Amino acid sequence: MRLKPEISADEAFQWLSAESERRWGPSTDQASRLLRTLAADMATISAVDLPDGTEPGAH
Amino acid sequence: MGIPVDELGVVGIAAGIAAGDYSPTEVVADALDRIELADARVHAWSYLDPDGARREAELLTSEVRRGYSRGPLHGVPIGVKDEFLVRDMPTGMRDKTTLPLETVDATSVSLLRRAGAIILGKTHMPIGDRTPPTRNPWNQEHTAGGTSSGSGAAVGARMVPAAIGEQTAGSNLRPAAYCGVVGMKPTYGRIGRFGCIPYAWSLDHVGIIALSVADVALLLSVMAGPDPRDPTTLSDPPPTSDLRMNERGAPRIGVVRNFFLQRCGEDMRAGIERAVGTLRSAGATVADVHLPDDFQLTWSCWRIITYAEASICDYFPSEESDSSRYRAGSLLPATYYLQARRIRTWLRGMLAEYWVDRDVLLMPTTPGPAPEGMNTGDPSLLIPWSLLGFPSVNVPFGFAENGLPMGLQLVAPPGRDYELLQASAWVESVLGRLPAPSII
Repeated sequence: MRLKPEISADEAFQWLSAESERRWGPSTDQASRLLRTLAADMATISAVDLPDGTEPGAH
Repeated sequence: MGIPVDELGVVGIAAGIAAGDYSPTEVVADALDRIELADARVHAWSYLDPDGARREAELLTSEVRRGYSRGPLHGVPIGVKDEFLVRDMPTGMRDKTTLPLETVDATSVSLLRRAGAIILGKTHMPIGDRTPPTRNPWNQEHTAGGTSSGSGAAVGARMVPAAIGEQTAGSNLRPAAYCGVVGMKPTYGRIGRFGCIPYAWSLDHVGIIALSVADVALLLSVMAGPDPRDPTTLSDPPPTSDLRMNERGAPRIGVVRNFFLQRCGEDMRAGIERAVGTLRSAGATVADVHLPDDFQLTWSCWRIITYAEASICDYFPSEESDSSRYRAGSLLPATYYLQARRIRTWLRGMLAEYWVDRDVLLMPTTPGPAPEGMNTGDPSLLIPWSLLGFPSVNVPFGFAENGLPMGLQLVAPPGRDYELLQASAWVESVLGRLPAPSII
């Protein structure tokens, strides 16, 4: 899954769902809700443009 | 129950032992009596070693009689969250059918023992997907919070004057707030994590729960400092436990007006406004603060980093439960994990300016008092500072309409743990400590 250009939450959810099903089979409702939350988080941070040189940091 | 634990706290008990008012044997016997009386209702302890504690207390008593002191905690009983390794005790967080007795102490436990503390036992926490049985000492229909559930409840019920916990989201300050006592999460790396079973390496903080800010300062002075077995520890030496309050004026406090109060119930919002008014009247310089819109990113970054890091901890049931967030975390691409860590670095730098003219920022610790039932409550107001590694302290300030305690959260920039404790002690002195619950 690319980071840039920014992704949408739906796009991230489709990708996460496909990966989850490939590994463990169909998701339960609860697992799907978790994947939707993470997908929204992925979309949120994908949209952030950071200053050049910002490193992950030791912490 | 001959020893007024509530009045004395860690500092007073240690001073009383040093002065010969109490012996470690008497203090430990008193603590075990309290546990006997209250733990059937509170369920704070997952493992107790009364015989070992009595033996250790007798040894420490004989040392006192010979005029010898191991350190500033000589004879003080302490509880330890079941996430830490304690020699000759099992570790519940290993979540195995058979739990071996450990052969080593976690760094924090080792430092407590070296200062003379007596480890009474291990305190309950959620293990895997299972909630702990721990109940709030103020009302057993309500949670004590989590995940340092037993540590918060044991101190809240005055079974012990202090306990150690751990915070990755809100696990140390939340139980402290729900149980009406002081909790601290120091700067990331201030206390070594060796022997604390990891949950999410870059977010795990060893925490302290005690009856007063002075007690917390004493424990921090013993536990902080570089740890050769934990490369993420800071090189700074431990701060002194003397908060020098007579040299210190009223603090400059920024009251955070966005992101936090909006998530709270009416009880908490009104309580915070009353507390702020009291602090202002007592001489604090109080100003409103609005954090930048990008602060909203902290919650997304916390989830991505935590879920990714926790997904490779082999004691979580990621293969047994398809609803597990840790399994979901294992799906995250490395690019997103790194992006979340880059955003954390960026936010840490950006936020520094919010303390230029202030000592601490103030906000609620939790959205409300401890909820009813087994759910351990909402950590959302604590997550940003766990993500960023900024030190934070819960100071109890009063009660909700249902009679349960509420706390406010004070936060300082990384490395200013001592200044944070100074400000917290001032706030505590103005707002007053809460009384003990009637559980004992």
